[in-house]
Amino acid sequence: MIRQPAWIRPVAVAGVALVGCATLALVDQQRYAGLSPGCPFRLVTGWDCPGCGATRAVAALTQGQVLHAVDHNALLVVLLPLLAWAWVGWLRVSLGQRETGAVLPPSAAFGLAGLLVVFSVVRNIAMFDWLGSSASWSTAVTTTLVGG
Amino acid sequence: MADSNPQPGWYEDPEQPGQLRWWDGKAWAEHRRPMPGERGDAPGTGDDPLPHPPDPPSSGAAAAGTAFGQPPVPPTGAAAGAPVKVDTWLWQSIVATVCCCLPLGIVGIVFAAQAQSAVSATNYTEAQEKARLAKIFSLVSYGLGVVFIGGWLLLMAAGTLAGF
Repeated sequence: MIRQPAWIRPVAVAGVALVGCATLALVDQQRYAGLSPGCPFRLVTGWDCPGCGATRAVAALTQGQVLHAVDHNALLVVLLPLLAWAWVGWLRVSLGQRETGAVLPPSAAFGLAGLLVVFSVVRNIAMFDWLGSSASWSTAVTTTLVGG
Repeated sequence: MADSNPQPGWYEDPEQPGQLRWWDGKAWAEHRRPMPGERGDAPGTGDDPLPHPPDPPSSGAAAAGTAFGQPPVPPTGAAAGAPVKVDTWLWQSIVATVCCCLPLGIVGIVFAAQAQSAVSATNYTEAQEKARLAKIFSLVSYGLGVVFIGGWLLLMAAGTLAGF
């Protein structure tokens, strides 16, 4: 068996992610919205899961529309830099530059799990529906500011 | 090394300090391995040559592996005594939670966090156990996501074929 270079896994993951982003950037979201499988959790329960709106958020980010991305999934916009940091750590470990990858302190890891749970509960409560996957407060804010 | 012929064993590589090299009693062999406790000591090194000589009886190297002032760690396969790198599956669990829309991912994150706590406490046996659970939950989450998307694509294809 041919020995794989050490960086093959992180680079493959980044490649898949980039292809996904490129697809989202190029595909007409309105036209092909019905083709997306959507979220199984939402399909079954009708509730937003912590990841609901992630596809639309990434699509909005590829268009440079950060506020729209926050509309669809605020948590994802916060998590993306963290994941990018983790990926860089992973790459450096695979290249032998570092001993361990990006390691969150255990408290932060527990905090993240708690945040995800709170986020998935709260975004389904009407009062906080601006955290939901189909909120449009950025549109409202923009309209107010621009006076449209 | 001409003046003395020490016992065969692992000694510090004269050419590349920081790693061990097998001394067969007369000459340096081509077998090299990382210093215990150094990077790459954990499973996955993969570079160890096959004729695997016994572990170092050499004085300096063996001491280096255990001189961390830690409580004795129960043997856990490959590298007992030295700090074990444990992949806690934290990041994979986070991605599973966000991408695969399943609460299983959250369970995975909790186990991954417990694994990291255990690593901090140098309890590598527990860390590996928790990391294993985190891995299982992440993989099941990914698997369900793939099954769901695959099933959806099949349905779409079937619907298209049926003229839906």
